[in-house]
Order: sequence, then structure tokens, then C-alpha cells
Amino acid sequence: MLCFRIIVTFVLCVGVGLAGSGVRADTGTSGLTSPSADDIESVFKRLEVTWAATLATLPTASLSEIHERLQEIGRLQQLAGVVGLDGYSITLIKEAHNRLARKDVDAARYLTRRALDISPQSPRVHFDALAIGGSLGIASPWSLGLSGLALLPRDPALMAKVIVHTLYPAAWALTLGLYVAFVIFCFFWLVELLRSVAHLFPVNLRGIAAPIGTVFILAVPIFLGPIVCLFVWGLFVWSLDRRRVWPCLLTGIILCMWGIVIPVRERLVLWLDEPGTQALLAYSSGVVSGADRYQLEKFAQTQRTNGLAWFAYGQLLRRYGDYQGALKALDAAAQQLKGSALVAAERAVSLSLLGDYPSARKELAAAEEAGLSSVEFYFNYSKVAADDIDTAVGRDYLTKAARADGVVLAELKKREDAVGSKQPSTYAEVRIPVGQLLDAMWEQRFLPDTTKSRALLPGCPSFVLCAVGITLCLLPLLPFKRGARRRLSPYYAEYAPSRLILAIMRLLPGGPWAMRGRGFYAFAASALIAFLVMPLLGWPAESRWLSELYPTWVTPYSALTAIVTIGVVVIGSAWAEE
Amino acid sequence: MQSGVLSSENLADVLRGISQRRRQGVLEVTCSDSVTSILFVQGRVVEALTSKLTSVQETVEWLERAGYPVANPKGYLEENYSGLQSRLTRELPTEFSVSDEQLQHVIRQRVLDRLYKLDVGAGSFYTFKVQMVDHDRDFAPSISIGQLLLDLVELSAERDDFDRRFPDSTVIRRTELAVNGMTPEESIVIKTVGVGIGLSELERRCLLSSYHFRHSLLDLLNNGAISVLPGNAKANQPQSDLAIDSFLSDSIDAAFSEAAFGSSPATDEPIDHDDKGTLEQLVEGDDHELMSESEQISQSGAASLYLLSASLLQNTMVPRIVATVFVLLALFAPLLAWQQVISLFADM
Repeated sequence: MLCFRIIVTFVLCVGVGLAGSGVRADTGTSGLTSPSADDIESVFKRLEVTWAATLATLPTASLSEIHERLQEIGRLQQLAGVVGLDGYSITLIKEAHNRLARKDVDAARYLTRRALDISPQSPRVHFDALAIGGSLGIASPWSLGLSGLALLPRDPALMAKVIVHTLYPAAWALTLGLYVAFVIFCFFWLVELLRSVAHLFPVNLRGIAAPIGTVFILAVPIFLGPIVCLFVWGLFVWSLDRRRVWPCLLTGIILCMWGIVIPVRERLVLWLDEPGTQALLAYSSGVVSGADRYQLEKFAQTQRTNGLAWFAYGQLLRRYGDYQGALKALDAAAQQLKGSALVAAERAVSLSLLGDYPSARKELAAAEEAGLSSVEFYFNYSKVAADDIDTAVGRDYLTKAARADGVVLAELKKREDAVGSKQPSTYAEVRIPVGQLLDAMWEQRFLPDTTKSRALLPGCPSFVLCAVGITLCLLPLLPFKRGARRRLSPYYAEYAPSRLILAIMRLLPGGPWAMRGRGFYAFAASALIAFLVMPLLGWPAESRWLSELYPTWVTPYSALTAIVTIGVVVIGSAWAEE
Repeated sequence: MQSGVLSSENLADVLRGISQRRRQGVLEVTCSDSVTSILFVQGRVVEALTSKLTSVQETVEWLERAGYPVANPKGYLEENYSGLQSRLTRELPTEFSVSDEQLQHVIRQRVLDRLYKLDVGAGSFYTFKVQMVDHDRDFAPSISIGQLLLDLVELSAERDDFDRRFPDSTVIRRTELAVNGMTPEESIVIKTVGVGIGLSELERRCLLSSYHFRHSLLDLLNNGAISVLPGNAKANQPQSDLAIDSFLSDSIDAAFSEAAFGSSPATDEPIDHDDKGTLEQLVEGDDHELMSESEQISQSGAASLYLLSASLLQNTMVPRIVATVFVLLALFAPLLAWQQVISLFADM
């Protein structure tokens, strides 16, 4: 289990780039009235009410009416300190599409711009606006796509969904890639296989037994399922020529991969299905809704040992102005996350907002001692020191923040200028590290579905798949007696493969490499093409998300897949010619 | 150009690769002290040469070894075999005349012998250059790589048996036993043996490749057509006696004209395993008659099985059928056999 955690943490951390903590930057306009902490909750309610009113009249309202309502929403969003309103933005983009269909270009352009303004850090909104933004000249599809990809690590919820929707297609692509590589390899090296099988039989029977035996060994495993098939073929090819390491090694890796992928994916799905997890992820993405407070509270109450849930709940309560409640939640978090610098830093903000500056500074010093050194932490430290009328220390920490990340600091200062430095929402918030989010997943008690692992290798749970895979990987490393190789084998000497099938095999991705005995390259090429084709086939089910979320992408994606496939075939053929 | 290190392990692969792709060009095999050039046309060997002599000169050298009154082989500067044939017809006495068929046979055996003696070892390498190969279609052989590989295996397998049964100074004599169904090579050997001849002299006179010579001798000995006497040094000396020369010439001519070329010219077909069956039956002799009927049936069944097995191992349709069955199953069987897994992963 620890192994699973390490691997998944690694995968996520690579994707996220170990962003660690980050700012929930906000844009704003000057001259806003600063509400007190007691008014914050009403700000959220007004935000929801205003959006509901906007939504009701959105299809029929004039551009000026929409503008007024969206201005109000923007103002309230700044007051609440909410970075992204993804749901609002996605609805606005859909309406922009409708307006564009009705030839109302100005409204479509305005709605798209506002959608991007409301959720500037949402990758989902950037991807949704990609087509219409490009056609209306707001931004090029490339820049929108690239910015969406760059923002992906800031949205753990979307990242988790991407991982869930990628694991099985990727695993199947690798499996089918190896299957195709084996098929092409066995076709091109069939005579060698026949000769090798022939020598297993007495001389009088070789001619009859060799073809029957070869067909039996190659065909029967197909009927026993993909994993059994790869397992038998891998062993077969390796046992006939032990100098070829790739059949055993790649088969072993595929088996291990399935042994890990199935439990991780099934557990991830169960974890993501939890409303509390969804609220936690949404909150850590900077998206706050009224329901999140209830869900996080329930989540923290039911998972009392989940320190991260308590931490997120404490952050949320502080955002809603309930500083005492926030401190209680953070105390509960501190009990689970012993010595956590994050909890100390967050407690310091709440204590500061309650006016207990000495305690706040003590917590901040403890957090710094524990190794926290992010720009948000230094920024908060400078604010607490400034509120404590210790201008020199405040200036020092502001300098440290500037050294840590000047761009983020500028965003934080900009928000402070917009709503006033005394506003609770001007405190920077540390993002929950991805590694700790995953820890929360493993701490929950799930009973993952084992149906799929048992279907792949009948009667075997995931750990058996892993064990068999590791054994296969180690098999080529075992010392074996190198028997005297037959100098010449005259059997089927005149055989040349059918030119038609030969041409077809050459045209398959990976065919030219398999023909030259380069199994690994054949596998890689076949797996790549299989992975690209899966969203078009809609199998496995997870690969359908692309066509479901972005139906307009299917045509360009098909063209891209065709270009890549042709490219792989051309490169393979050129390589084979050399 | 294709090149690489050559070893006894990959020799067959290299030759087979050229043959299967029906390449045309020159395969240069560099061993420790010699370079052998093997010329391919349509994936078949048409010539094999060392760098010392031309193909015409090598052929003349073979004829000289066999006792033909040809002058210095290096003096033959003809560019092709047709020129050589014209010169031989012009210069040789009538009793030593060489027909077109005889010359074809000699060239073929010479090329085969060169191939059989290809001794790749440590440090050998090869270079294959794709190029147009100029060859004399009327005389040059067209040797199948499959047959060559088969012969090499058999030659290797028979080497010990041959050395044991035919020591260096052996004298070989013809017996009175009549043998039917001899191969052309066996006919040449039996006629060249005559009243008695030393092994090395016989090899020179036969104009056969090492494989055909050894194989024929072993078969003839097994059939009882020849006998082996403990040799003396004289037996292997060149026979200068005119009577013996005349006898040998006659026997060679007769052997070539009657056995080798009169009925069936040498072909590229694989070894005829029917001969093996015939030989087994002939060699059995009296013991064979003593066998019970059931044993005979049993042996006959085993022989048939062996023949069927051997012919299937050389039948190119076998791998074709296996490949087709495998590819079809690999493509379509998963759609049926993996239904459960496919449907399981089709649902979220």
C-alpha cells in the first residue's frame, strides 16, 4: 500500500509540479466599500442570489442588463476573496455559444471575456473558451490552450479527474501496444518459432508437430484473456531465445502496472465520489460555494482523524469570518497533523484577525522554524507585524516575500489595494499540498472494486498481478545455461512471408521495428497510436470524456491522430529502409 | 550496402535474408586469410569465387585436377564460359571433349564446393553490395539457399561418419552388387571407382563438390556397391599409367553422359527423401526377410511418417498457413474471447 501511495504521489506531484502552496490571487477595482467580518457571510449569500437572478434572465436579457449584473457579481467576488467561479463561467460560455449562433457577436464576445475574468485561474474555463475565444478574436486557441495547461496544476480537482480518466486508457494502450508488438514480432519471426518448436519434438514428428504446436502456443492464450495471453507469449518468446529480454521485461511491467493501476484508480474514484472530498478539492482550487461549508463540516465530523479536512474547514470558517470556529477546527487539525507549519501559519491569521498579535507572531515564528518559506507565508507575516505596529519586521518580511516570488506578491498587493489592507480577505491563503491531499485519500477506509483485476487474471487479486509481474521482470536476470546453438536450421528455408500481409504489417505502427526484432520500439509505437485512437473509439469508458466534454474537438483530434499515425508509420518505414 | 560480423551462428540468417528478399548483388565474405565473393541473382547463387583466380580459371583448374590435358589454368583469360567452351572444344583431343552439359556440371560442383568450404570463424565479416551481376546464363548455376543450408547441415552431420569409414589412405573398389536408382552423383562415383582407386585420387577425378562426393560414397558403401580396403600410399598417387588414364577418362565420360546428363540434369530440388527409403530397403538384405510382417509394417509406417515430416519441414505452405491462422486469430479472436473484459471496461 505504501508503494501505491508513493507512486501516485509521484505521478501527481510531477503533474502538479509540486506547486506546494500558491496564492489565490484576485483582481479588483478600487473604491469598494470594505465590509466587516460579520458581513462576509452575507456577501456569499448576495453573490448566490445575484447569480440566480442573472441566470434566470440570461437568455433574454440585453447586453447592458447582463453587464450590470456581472459587474455586481465581480464586486461581490472580490469582497468575498473568491478566486474562481467556475460554474458561473462555464454557464456564461455556453450562453456565448448561443448568442453567437444567433449572430449576436458583441454579446458573445462580452460573455466570453467576462467568463475568463470571473475565473482567471480555471483551466476548465480556458479549455471551454478555446474554440469561441479563438473565433471571436479574444485570444488565439493556442494561447488559451497553453494557459489552460499551465493552470492545470492549480486545480487538483481537475487533475484528479484527468488522472482517473487517463489511468485505464493508458494502461490498456500499453497492454494493446504490447499485444500488437507480439503479434507483428511473431509473424515476422514465425519461421524461427516454428524451427524452435520443431526441435522440441522427435525427428519423425517434427514436420507435423511443429505447426500444430506453434499454433497451439500462439492461439490458445488469446482465448484466455489479454493478460494471460501476454504472459504466455512473453514466456514463450523468451524461452525460445533467452537473449531477448524485452518480452519478459515488458510483460512483467504491464502486469505490475495493472496490479497498481486497478486499486489506485478504484480507490481514487471512491474518494472523489465523496462530497466532502469534492468540497475539499474545490476549496483547494480556490472555488468556494455555499454548499462547500456544509460539506466540509460534515466531512470533518465524519472523518475525525482526517487532519486535512479539519484544516480546510478551518480555512473556510476563517474566510466566512468565524475566527473562533476556525481556531477550533485548526486545533483539531493540529492534533492530526502534528507539528504542521501550515496549521501554525493558518492559526496565526485567525489569531491576528481576533487581535491577538503576540500569539499570532508566536505561531508564525513556529511555522518559520518548521521550514515554511512561501511567499504567502511571508506576506501574511508582514501583515501581522504591520498590524502589531512593528513596521520594521513587516518591511523585512515583505522583502522576503518579494525575493520568494515578486509576481505573486504583486497580485497580493493589488488585491490589498482594491479592497483595503484591513479586509480579512486580503490575507493570502496557503494551498494544500498535493501530497497531503493524497494522504487524505489513503487514510480513508474504502473497499475498492476487485472485479476488474479478477477479470484480467482470473481468480487473482491485484497483488498477485504485481507478484507475477515482478517475477517476470526478474526472470531474464536469472543465470541460465547457454546451450550450444544450432549452427544452421534448414527447416522452411524457402519460406518468405506473403507480400500482401508483409505490406500490411509494414504499414502497422511498430511493424518495421518488430520486423527488425526491435520489440521495445514496436511496443512504444503501437501503444502511442492505441492511446490516441481510444477517445475516438470510446473505449474504455473513461476515454469518452473528451468527446463528451468537448464534442467540437473530435474532428481536429481525429486529424491530429491521423497525422501522428502517418508520421509514426513513415518514420518506421524510413528506419527500416536504412 | 549491408555489412556485419559473420559467425557460424548468423551465416544461415545472412544467406536466408538475401535469398528471401530475392536480392541481386555480391556477398563478400572475408575470413582470416581469404575473401570469397558469392554472386546472387534473384536470391540464388550463380557464382562463388576467391580473389585468386577468375571463374573460368577455377573451372579449368578443376578439369586439370580431374586429368584433363589442359595447359596452365592461368593462361585461360576468356571472359565467360562460352569462350571457355569454344576453346576447350578447339584445343582438347576428341577423347577429352567436354560437352555443354559436362561444363555446366563442373561449374555447378565447383561453385557448390566453394560454398561448402566457406569456413567462417572468429574475425570473419561480410559485405553485401546490391549491384547488377553479369553472369553467363547458359552455364552459370542457380543454386537455392535452402538446398545449400540443408546440404551444409548434412555435411556437418556426416563428417565424423565419413572420416571413420574412409580413412585417408583408403582404397575404394567396386563390388559386384547391382544397385538401382542411383543418383547422378553416385553414378559418377561408381563409374570413376572402376577396379580400384585411392580416396584422394577419386575425389579429384570425380569433379564433385565435397558434399556430393562424401554423401555419394557413404550411400554407395551403405548399399554395398563399393568396398573399402586398407589403403597404401601408392593408391593415392596420381595414376600415370596410360591404361588407367584411359579407363578413367572413359569412366568419367561415361558417367557424365549416361548418368548425370543423359537422363536428369542436376536440379535445385531438396534432397529426395524417397531415395532414403529406397536405400533403407536395399540395405536391409537378409535380415529384412527375417522380420515379422508386423515389424515390417511398423517400420514402413515409421518411414512414411519420417518422409511426411521431412517434406512438411521443407514445405513453405506450412509457415504460410500457420502465419495466416495466427494473424486471423490475433485480429478477430479477442473480439469474441475478450467480451467480458471489454464490456467490463466499457462501463465506468
